[in-house]
Amino acid sequence: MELAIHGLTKRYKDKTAVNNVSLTLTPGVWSLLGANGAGKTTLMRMVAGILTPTSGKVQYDGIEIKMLGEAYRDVFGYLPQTFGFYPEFTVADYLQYMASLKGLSKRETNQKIDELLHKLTLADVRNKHIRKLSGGMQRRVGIAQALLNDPDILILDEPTSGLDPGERIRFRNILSEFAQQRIVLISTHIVSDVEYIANRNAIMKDGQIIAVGTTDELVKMMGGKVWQGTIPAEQLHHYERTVRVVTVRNEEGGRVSVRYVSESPGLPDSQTASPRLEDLYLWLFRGEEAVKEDAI
Amino acid sequence: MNRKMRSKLQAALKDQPALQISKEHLTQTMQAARMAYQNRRQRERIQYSAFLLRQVRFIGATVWLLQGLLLLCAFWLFGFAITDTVSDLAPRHLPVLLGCFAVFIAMTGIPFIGRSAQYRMLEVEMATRISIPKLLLTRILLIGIGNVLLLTVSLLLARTGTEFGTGNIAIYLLLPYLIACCGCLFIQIYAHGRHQGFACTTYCFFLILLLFILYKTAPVVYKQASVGVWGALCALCAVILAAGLYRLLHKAASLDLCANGI
Repeated sequence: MELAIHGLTKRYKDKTAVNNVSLTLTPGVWSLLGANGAGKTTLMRMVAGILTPTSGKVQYDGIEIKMLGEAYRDVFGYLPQTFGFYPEFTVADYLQYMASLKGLSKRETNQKIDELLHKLTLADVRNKHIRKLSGGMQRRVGIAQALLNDPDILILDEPTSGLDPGERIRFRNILSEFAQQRIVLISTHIVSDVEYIANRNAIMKDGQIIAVGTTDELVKMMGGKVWQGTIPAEQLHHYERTVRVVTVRNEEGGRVSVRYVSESPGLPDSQTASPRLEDLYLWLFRGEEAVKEDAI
Repeated sequence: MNRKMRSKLQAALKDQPALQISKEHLTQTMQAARMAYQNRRQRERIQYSAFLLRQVRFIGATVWLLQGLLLLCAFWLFGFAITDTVSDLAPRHLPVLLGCFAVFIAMTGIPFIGRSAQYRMLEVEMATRISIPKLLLTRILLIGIGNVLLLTVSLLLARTGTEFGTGNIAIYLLLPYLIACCGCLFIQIYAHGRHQGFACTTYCFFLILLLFILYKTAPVVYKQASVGVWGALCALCAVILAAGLYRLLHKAASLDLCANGI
């Protein structure tokens, strides 16, 4: 099984959202990392077949997805960035509606809904109106919808936004279990969400893929560029202007321990630290607001 | 395999010059094909008729309730009020009443216009097996079933106790109905998603007002002599409606074409 993206480009009037992207997705969890506006959502929509590319093509096992039509959508699960629902829908109504659009039989629908509600701990809210649920629960309903047809290709756009730490861990576990022999593509700007579950990562910037590899391969690129040093707290403001700070931790005696990325040590008595994906992200997205989240 | 794919494969095969087929390769191909077939996951999928039935709960139930209320109004208006000599509604007002009622019938579909975009369901619905064009057709079909029933009942009720022929009554109902449908359809194609419902409602009320104004200022429009023109306009509207429907379904096939709402 293979999903190949060949020279995909999407141009709007005055902006190129995705610029000549080529990528071959194989079974496993793939993360698509990038800052807001990098072109992740546009790329995902084109892979989902709901947005027409300006040029380039997407092939599933060698056949263009446009040709496959409903056969492609049949093996496809998609969670868009914005979760929508009709206001009169309960959780069960929504899933039944989506199951009918996915062409599931009644028997399979009931079986799948029971299974997913249990897995995503939504069984208690089965008959509740979606509009009355919290953002995290609504997101889980969206994830359940994407998994209804047991897809071979699962595309999730910012799936963890709004989930609390516990829900994120549960989501990661479900995904790891699900991804066997399937292609899962997760777009996010929250590095910690994918650092431990993604088999491979693609990093996107300004509409282009700038790096592809396993977490270890990508992290190796940061060898000798991640440092840790301790400075007096009052000097932090000064150093923040000269180095790219990843984390700051308060120490005793009015000092702070600073982890930062730099070509050379920028703080006195700095020592190299073992790099993480988050460091690479910050390195690549210099000048852009990075979303940093504490590891769960 | 869809039709496009099948014809492309057939064309590619025809383009090939006569090939030397080796028995060994043929056996290998057969084995590979058999293995691929056995390895594929069996997916049981419902037919369109089953899908249509399941949409009754989500679309049909609401719209049919609305149309049911309108049906009661039809019984009151054409079955009782218009034939009751005590009532202010004299049979001579029938053409304009039929027209206004037909516009109301068309209006029962307005709550479903732009609904997917309004509630941000468009993307997720587009990525499903059924896809948006088929879903739209299903909605139109379910709304249309109720509308046809309402139009038929109105026609049958209005026919009794009036001097107008069945053909005339049908035309007095159909033309305003088709004009209302055409307008709403084009609003759906060209207007922004958020404003579609409001624009359609305004358009329909404007149409009702126009029918009244015409009745008051140019009653000749409703005379027997104009029926031919009404008939021609009906045919024209039917063609425009079909073209609009085709345009809407084409627009619904891609998110960049229907980002404003479907």
